[in-house]
Amino acid sequence: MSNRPGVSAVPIIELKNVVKSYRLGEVVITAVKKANLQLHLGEFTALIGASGSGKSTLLNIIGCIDQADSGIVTIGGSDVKQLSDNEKSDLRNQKIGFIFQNFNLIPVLDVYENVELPLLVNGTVESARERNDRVLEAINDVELSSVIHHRPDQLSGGQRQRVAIARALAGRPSLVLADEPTANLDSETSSKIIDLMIALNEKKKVTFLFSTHDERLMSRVKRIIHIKDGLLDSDSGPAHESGT
Amino acid sequence: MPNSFWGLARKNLRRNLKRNLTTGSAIAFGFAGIILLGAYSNRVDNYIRVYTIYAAHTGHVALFAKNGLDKFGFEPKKHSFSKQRQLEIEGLLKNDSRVEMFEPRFSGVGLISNGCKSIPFSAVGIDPQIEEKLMIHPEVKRWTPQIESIKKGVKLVDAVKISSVAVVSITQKVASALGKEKVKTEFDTGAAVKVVDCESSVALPQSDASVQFLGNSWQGGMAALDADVVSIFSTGFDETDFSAIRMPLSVLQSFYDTERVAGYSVWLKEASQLKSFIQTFSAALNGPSLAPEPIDLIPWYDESLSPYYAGTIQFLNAMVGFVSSVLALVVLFSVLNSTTLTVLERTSEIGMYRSIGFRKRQIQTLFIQESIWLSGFSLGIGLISGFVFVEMINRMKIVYHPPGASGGLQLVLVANVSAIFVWAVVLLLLTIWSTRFSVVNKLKWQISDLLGGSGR
Ligand SMILES: Nc1ncnc2c1ncn2[C@@H]1O[C@H](COP(=O)(O)OP(=O)(O)OP(=O)(O)O)[C@@H](O)[C@H]1O
Ligand SMILES: [Mg+2]
Repeated sequence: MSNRPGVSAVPIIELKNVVKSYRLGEVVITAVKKANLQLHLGEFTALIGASGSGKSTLLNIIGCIDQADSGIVTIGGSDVKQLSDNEKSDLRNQKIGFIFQNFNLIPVLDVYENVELPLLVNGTVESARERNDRVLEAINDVELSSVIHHRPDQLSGGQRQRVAIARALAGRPSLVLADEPTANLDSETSSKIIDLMIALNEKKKVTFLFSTHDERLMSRVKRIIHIKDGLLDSDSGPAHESGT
Repeated sequence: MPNSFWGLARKNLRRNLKRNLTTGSAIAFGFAGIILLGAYSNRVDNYIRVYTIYAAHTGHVALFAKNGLDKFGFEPKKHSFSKQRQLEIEGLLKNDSRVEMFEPRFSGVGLISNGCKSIPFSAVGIDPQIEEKLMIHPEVKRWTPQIESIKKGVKLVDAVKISSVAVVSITQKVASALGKEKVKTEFDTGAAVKVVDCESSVALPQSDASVQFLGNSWQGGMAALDADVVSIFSTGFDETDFSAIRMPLSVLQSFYDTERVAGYSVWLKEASQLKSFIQTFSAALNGPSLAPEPIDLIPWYDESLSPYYAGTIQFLNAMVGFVSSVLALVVLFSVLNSTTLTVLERTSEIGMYRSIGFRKRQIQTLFIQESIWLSGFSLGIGLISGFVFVEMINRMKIVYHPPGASGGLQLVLVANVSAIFVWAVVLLLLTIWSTRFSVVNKLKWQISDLLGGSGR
């Protein structure tokens, strides 16, 4: 199915004719129109579109934090519609990592404790030692070992986003979703964050899907999906990798 | 699946330290206030309870001939027990293991005089032996140690042994009205009785402790009696102190020329057996083997039997209940305000917890554990300060004058441990409930909405 090297054949995410609309009084806004999409393990994909094009809506649906009106969303082979709320929680905890534009860190917890958060409710991580190993590994991956006991207000914006990335990685998810992870950062820091994500994708085979409206990032990404007014166009990207 | 986040919850309390301190203080002060109020009402309640049951000779249960409580005063003969009936009743009381002791009830009115001047009296006949037991009863020692009902002179039980004539105990007010403020033991026992010169314009010093009684005998004639004042006592109330006197039961009975009694005061070993005693004893007394003379068994707290107790407690409960509820409401609003605001400002945080895989129940648990930390800690502070206040007030030895009571009472507070426990649980549940309420409402939201504009 896929011709990309290092990418598995079975999609971890599959969207079929996914529609999502919002009603604002009399007006109905269709934020996502009949979206079809497949994501495979190991991919590094950017979702690019203007403000209001539906990027967040799409990511939220993929991450099970919003529901599609119609269409089928399959994650890791299971239809999201069939899952209970707790099953979806576990899915988010173990299969998906989230990175937010505003980092969403807990101000009273230090780096270690913030990264540890998802592991507190991870039923597959039983021993405290394993939890500790995972936290340290994730912090090491984002190169924050030196500030491990700093609280968010003692960190720079770029460092805070790294904490958020480490927190997303700690559960060893098959997919990391990032909604405009660089929107709150200056361009130099932004590009360092993208570098870090690319490095993690290459070294650790972490699958990334992130949204941005920054066209400058296009050249650095293997796979790009454009979204305009809720419509996904066919994939574009470096010539040898285009087409699904 | 882990379901407790005590560590995280404790750290999260630092999130809005100022608000949590405010809420915590509201809980602590409210709780301390409730402890103080409870200590006051506990103290007063026990004081007048023990006063009513023991010092006032009411007993836990008063046993009367049918309607005797209301009508004995008007038709004593009709509403009293014959000697025969008394023997039946006393036999049953003696054999009842629940009964600690009992005393016949007998009272009457008449005139008491010093030879020149007479005033009305209201006499209560008491069994001197029972009086003795009541005064050293553990409950009395514990709750009403400063009630020294005998102000001066000797107890009736001792007086009976030393005096050759009838003995009586009168109140300070009766004593000063009659110029009989010195009691028998303050005079030479052998001194002859001097005749009072009523015409004398000069106030003569009191020359003896002798008084005279005049009344209507139950048999229809007049009754008169000479007696020595052997002690001065107080009923504890201004109103009754004007006419109250106490005499040995047998003396009062012979004064009125009767063997009958109005009823019995019955003290139980365990106050908790009151209800069952009333039920079963009444059945036993009215049983087929005995004369079918109906009786009334009235619990000590009944309004018609102990109007002072009932009235005071009603007032006290209303006041303490009202102030406690106001305090609890203030705490409730403070807690509600705090939890609502906390949950509101942490909406996107809740969204974050949800997005990284916290289940709804786990987030609820986290927030509830935060509020348990907060209220538990605050209740602890409140508990300590409440006890410190109680101790401080007791050490200040404040004397106050409750309305109607003769003399001052020291304001003593005694913390009511079980009420404190109940209030602590109530306040804890209140905070848990209000947290749960706000969080559960928030958890109904779509996660994307929780994350809000910031998350998308
Ligand atoms: N909760 C909502 N209620 C109503 N309309 C919404 C809601 N969320 C999104 N929309 C609308 O859906 C459309 C897509 O919004 P979305 O947030 O997905 O866009 P976006 O591409 O993420 O934009 P941005 O780059 O500004 O974040 C917009 O027109 C938006 O106004
Ligand atoms: Mg967006």
